[in-house]
Amino acid sequence: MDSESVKAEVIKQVRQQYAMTNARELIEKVNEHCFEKCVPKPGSSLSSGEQTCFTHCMEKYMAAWNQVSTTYITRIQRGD
Amino acid sequence: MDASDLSNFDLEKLNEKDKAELRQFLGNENQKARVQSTEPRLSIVKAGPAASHANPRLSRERYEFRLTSAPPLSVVVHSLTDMCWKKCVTGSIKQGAMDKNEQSCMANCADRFLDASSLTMKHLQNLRQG
Repeated sequence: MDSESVKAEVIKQVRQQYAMTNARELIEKVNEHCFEKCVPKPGSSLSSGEQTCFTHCMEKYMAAWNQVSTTYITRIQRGD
Repeated sequence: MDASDLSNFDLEKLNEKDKAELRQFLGNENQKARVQSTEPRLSIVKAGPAASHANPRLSRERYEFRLTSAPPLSVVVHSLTDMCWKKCVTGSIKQGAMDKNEQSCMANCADRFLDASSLTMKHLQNLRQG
C-alpha cells in the first residue's frame, strides 16, 4: 500500500468507528426502552402483538432521537 | 482513537504530506464530535488521587467540581433522548410515528433540560466567586 491508500483507509476506519459507536448506543437504548414498553410481562415467547409493538417502538424511538438531535443542533447554532 | 485499531495498516508508509492531512482530519472529526460550546462545562466527578489541582473550596467529601470540555454531541443526544422519552412517551405504542404532542414534548424537554443545566452552571459560578 502506498501513502495515499493508507491515508484513505485510516479515514474510512475512523468514520466507520464513529458511526458504529453511535449505532451501538442507539440499539442499546431502543432495546432497553422498547422492552420495557412492549414486554411488560414476558411470556414463554414474544407474541405477535409484542413484535408489532417493538417495530413501532423502534421507529418511534429513532424519530424521538432525531427530534432531540435537531433541537440540540439548532440550539448550538443559535449560540447558547 | 485507539492505536491498536490501526495496527493492520502500515502507518510507516505515510509521507509527511499525508501525515499532516490525517492530523487535520482527526482534529476536524474530534471537533465535530464535540461541538465545543463557548464555555466549559462544570461537572461533578468523584475525587481521586489525581485531583489535587481542583479548587479545594469546592470539593466536598468524595466529590468535587471540575471544569471539563463539553461532552461529544452524540453523548448529549443519546442521554437527552433517553431521559425525555421517559417523560414524553407515556402511553402504549400504537404507531411508529410520534404524535404532535410527543414531538413538542421531546423538543421542549431537551431545550428546558439544557436551560436548567446552564442555570446550575451560573449558580455554581456565582457560588465560586462569592
